[in-house]
Amino acid sequence: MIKVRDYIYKDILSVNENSDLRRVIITMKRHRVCAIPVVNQLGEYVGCISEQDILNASVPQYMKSMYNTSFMADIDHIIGHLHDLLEEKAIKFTDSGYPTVTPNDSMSYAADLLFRSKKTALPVLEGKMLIGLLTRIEILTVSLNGNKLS
Amino acid sequence: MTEFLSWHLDTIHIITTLVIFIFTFVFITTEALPNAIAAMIGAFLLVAFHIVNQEEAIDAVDFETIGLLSGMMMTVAVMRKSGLFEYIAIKSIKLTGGSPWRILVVLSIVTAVLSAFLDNVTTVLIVVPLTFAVADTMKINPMPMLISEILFSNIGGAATLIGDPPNIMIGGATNLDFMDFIQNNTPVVLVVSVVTFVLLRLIYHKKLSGMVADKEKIQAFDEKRAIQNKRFFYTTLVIFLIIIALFITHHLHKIDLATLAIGGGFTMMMVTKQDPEEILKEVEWATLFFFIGLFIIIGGLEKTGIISFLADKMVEVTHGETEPAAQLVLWMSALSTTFINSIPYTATMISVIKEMTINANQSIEPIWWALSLGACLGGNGTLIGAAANIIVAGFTQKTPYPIKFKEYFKIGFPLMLVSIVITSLYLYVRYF
Repeated sequence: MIKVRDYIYKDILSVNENSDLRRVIITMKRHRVCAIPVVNQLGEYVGCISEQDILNASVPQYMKSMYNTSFMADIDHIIGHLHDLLEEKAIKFTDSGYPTVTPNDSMSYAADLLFRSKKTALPVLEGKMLIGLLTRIEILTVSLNGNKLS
Repeated sequence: MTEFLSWHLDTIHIITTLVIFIFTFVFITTEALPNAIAAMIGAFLLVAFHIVNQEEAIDAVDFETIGLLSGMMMTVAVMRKSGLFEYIAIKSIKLTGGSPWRILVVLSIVTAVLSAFLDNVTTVLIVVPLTFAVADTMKINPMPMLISEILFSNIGGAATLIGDPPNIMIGGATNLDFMDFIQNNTPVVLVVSVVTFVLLRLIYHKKLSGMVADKEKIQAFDEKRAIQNKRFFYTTLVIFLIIIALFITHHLHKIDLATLAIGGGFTMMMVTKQDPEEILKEVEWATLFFFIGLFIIIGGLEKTGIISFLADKMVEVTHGETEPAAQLVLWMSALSTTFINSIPYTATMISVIKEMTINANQSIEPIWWALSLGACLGGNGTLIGAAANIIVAGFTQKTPYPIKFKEYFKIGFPLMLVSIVITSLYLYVRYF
């Protein structure tokens, strides 16, 4: 079985739950990640923030309930709302139910989880501690390394 | 002995039916159970206890109402995709030039007109998010507009046979057709609308004129982009107009409304090449089963003689005179539907009115208009008075401008009373 342990991206990148959204976005941009784990003061993992979560918070409720919003294309609603959210704390946007894996899980399980949840990366946890990240490309490249299951 | 036994059985049946009816009503009003479940379980129990048999239960269902409702739901499900409703609303908003009061008037008129031809919930689900979009763009508080839209969804719904569930049910149960509703309800709806606007103007004048609005910004809305496929847009519009034209000309072709609505819905799907699976998913099955369950429960009330007992009481109180009966039904309906769901109320009252024996030389028709107007307009009294009110209130809870029960009551209840006074005078002047 090909395990997660062998493919973790160990450069642990995370943000503190009390950081503001501005910090989160800057960190995500600087490191070119689409999702970032969130930790508390003790360094324990509490959840993840994805670009999708931030977009979800910045699109106003009324726009979500419209069939079609293209008639509002010339109005800066979403960017304006996002701007108003920049000082809010990271924990407010954190998805605590974000899927995670452990080092002993198989890569196939991780692949299935990523596929089903449509996420871009999975935090790898050992107990409450974050020990790394597994991205979609890590999984896609597993097969390139001559790994073929017989 | 057998006589005694049969009397005994009747009493047990009456008590069982009443208990089921009251429990269903309480569950619906308190929302302890979803409407459809409460009504269908009630109906099931009536059949299970042999108060009505299955055949009688099916006979009790008014399929004219169910057919009309489901047909309109299909038609609207296709039409919503065309962007027509958004187009109308945005075009009208832009014509106001951005004055908050004029936006309130225009959005209310759009709500009233759409409500007259679509169901009220669909209408507010289209208009309310747009109102938020406008308010957000102009940086104003949308509350006055939202309250006005609730009021006008119920006022507009009263105007036509297809505008509001009580009217659909009355249309299904009587020989009154689409034009009868227009001729009898629309005039008073217009008067009530004008008076409501005047009163809203007085209530909100200060608040609205004090608003600093970014008027220019609404010109950035592009109504043309709401229509993604012009051909689809025109096709649905033409079919919808044909359906309405056939509704209006019922007296010429005698094709019933349920047939027209269902035929229209499927024609709409055929011509626009829609996937029926997808469109039929949009049909509110829960609402339809809610109606079916209620009809069966009312069937039980009829069979056990409870309805005729109520009808006799009504005749006794009003001496079989249409005039006091119409006024009684109007006020009773308005005040009841302010607090309880208008659908079970109307379903019960339809049976009661049908059983009433009115003095020979008088027409029963004014009582139907009293029931229709009372049940539709009464919905404006509180935030829980009608389905549209509940939907708008629920929608706003997730926004920065949640509508509160008390806040709505202070405006909705007095305005509802005014509308019923106007209707009461209208009934008196027009029919007596």
